[in-house]
Amino acid sequence: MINPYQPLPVKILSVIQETPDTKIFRLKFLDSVKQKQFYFWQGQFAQVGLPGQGEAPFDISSNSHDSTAYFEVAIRQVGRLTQALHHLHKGDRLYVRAPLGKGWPSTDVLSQKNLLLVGGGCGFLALKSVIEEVSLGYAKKHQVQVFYGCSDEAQVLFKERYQDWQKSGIKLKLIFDKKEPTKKYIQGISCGYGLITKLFETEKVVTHASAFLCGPPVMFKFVIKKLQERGFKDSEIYLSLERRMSCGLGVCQHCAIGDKYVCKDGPVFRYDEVKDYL
Amino acid sequence: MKFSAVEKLIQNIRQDYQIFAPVKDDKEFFVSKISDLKQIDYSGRLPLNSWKHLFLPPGEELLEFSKKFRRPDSVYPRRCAWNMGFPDLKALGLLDVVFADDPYYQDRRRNILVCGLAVGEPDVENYAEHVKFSRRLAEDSLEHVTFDIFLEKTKKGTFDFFAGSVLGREVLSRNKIKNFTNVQFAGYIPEQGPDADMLSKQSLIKKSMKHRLWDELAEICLACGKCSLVCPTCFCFDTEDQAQEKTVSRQRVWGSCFYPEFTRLAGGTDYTATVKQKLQFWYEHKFVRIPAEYAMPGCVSCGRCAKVCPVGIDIAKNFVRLSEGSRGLPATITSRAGNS
Repeated sequence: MINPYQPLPVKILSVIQETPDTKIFRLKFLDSVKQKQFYFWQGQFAQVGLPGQGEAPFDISSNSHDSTAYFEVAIRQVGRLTQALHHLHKGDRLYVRAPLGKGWPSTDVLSQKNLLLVGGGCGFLALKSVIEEVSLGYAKKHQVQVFYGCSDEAQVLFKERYQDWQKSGIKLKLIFDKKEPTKKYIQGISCGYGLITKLFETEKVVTHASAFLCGPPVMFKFVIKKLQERGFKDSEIYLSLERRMSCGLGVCQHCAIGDKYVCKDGPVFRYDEVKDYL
Repeated sequence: MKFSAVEKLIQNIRQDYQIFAPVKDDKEFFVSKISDLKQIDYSGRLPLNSWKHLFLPPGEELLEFSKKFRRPDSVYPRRCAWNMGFPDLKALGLLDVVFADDPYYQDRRRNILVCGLAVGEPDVENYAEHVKFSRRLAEDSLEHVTFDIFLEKTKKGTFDFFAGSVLGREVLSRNKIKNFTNVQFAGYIPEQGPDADMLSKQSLIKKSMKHRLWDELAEICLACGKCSLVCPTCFCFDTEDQAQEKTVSRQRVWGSCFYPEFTRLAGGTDYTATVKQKLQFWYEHKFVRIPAEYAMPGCVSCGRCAKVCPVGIDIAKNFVRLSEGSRGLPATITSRAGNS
């Protein structure tokens, strides 16, 4: 019987200090056959760990089209495990169980084909892989608007990708809620000051769209209100939830909400499936 | 058959298996490893500590790490769970399903001979009250529980034998017991569909999250976790890395949703920070999530949680309160000391 608790060793191909507290790890399975067969769907996650430090869930943030060569996780230092992970360098090993969970819906099944992606803080990590996916042509055929809110300029993630995203047709807006931006533009993207909900007033929000959201619980509350005011149906809103996933199999209960498990039924849910439990 | 036949059977089983059975210890009954077969209790009383530690030990090593993570070469001793009551067999059925793909559980489970016992009405305190809450145990059929051998004690004090698996038939035949009824397992879900009582409790819990009962319970609940410890269907677990001198051991240990940090994220957000949230999480697991996922009851009405609760929270009474409407009646929860 396959042992679902068995993590596989991966080699760190590169480490990028993305922000003062977040590093991006590019990883490759030591087992080259496993790597060649590796596939994930955007929005799925990985349990990443070290011997002696346990493991924790991280969104896979790279483009799924590159999955047979490598995959990436962006790790913010917030606890004991992430502190240990931040001490690792290129060539070091860590241990992974992936892919786990159910990611963002395929655009094929969406009733509204335009996309509004709203990310708050490190919730933006969960949207990265889907942005990469739609940058490969989809954003030329359909409108894709991205609202990204974070505390200040120093916390901005994935800046080096913005120009490519823009070229692909994605319309990105940045807004900071702690410190006013010193520059008007970051990599050609205009920056505002205020809460993420402010963008719903200042920007022309895409219509006939499905909304993908990831961020802190308070962001969900206010952004969903804004979406509903604009006529988004509950069934057109998708959320990626952050919980304490542990076993990744829907057994241990650490990530349960209502009648669902974030590790197995999610982390991405349609809003109407979970709204009673948020 | 006479009791002597039962005694002879267990004597022979002991040649191949370690025996675990209910034993009376002072006033209470506990599942214990048996050295003297005379200690075994045949009253049908449910042991307070449930049987889950035999199937899902409080701690077990999942992986050991020296140069790589590997599963340790564990030996799972042959054990016999003797005199398991009907509710505990139902709980075992649930564990078998929940851990169906778990190699550790399955390897251990394969070496456990499961022998049930029924003694007319289950001997629980406040039986009349219990029966209102219970799932009509008498009507439940052996076809829908998991076991190898089952004994039914008749009113005359004799025993009827049942076999519920190939192994059970083999063990009985080897012991020259021919007069047994073969029970063909018909699945955990009754022919007529999922248990109606389970479905009604599921919808009651779902719509009762705003009931004042939760605030009242949160006032008195100590979040001590004793209920989850004795519950035969509480299977939550934590995984922990324990560093040894040169190796690391990744362990699976019993968890409890009543304990701090069960749902807390590294950044500090905690989705079950309050006692009310913990209580609701526990009830949702048993009465909402388990039925939703497995179409099986997540509570087998054993009553252990009420029995061990230091502040007298009684699951059966709580369901009566919840069924009395969305706002509920004034608090009438009394402590166990107050009842007796």
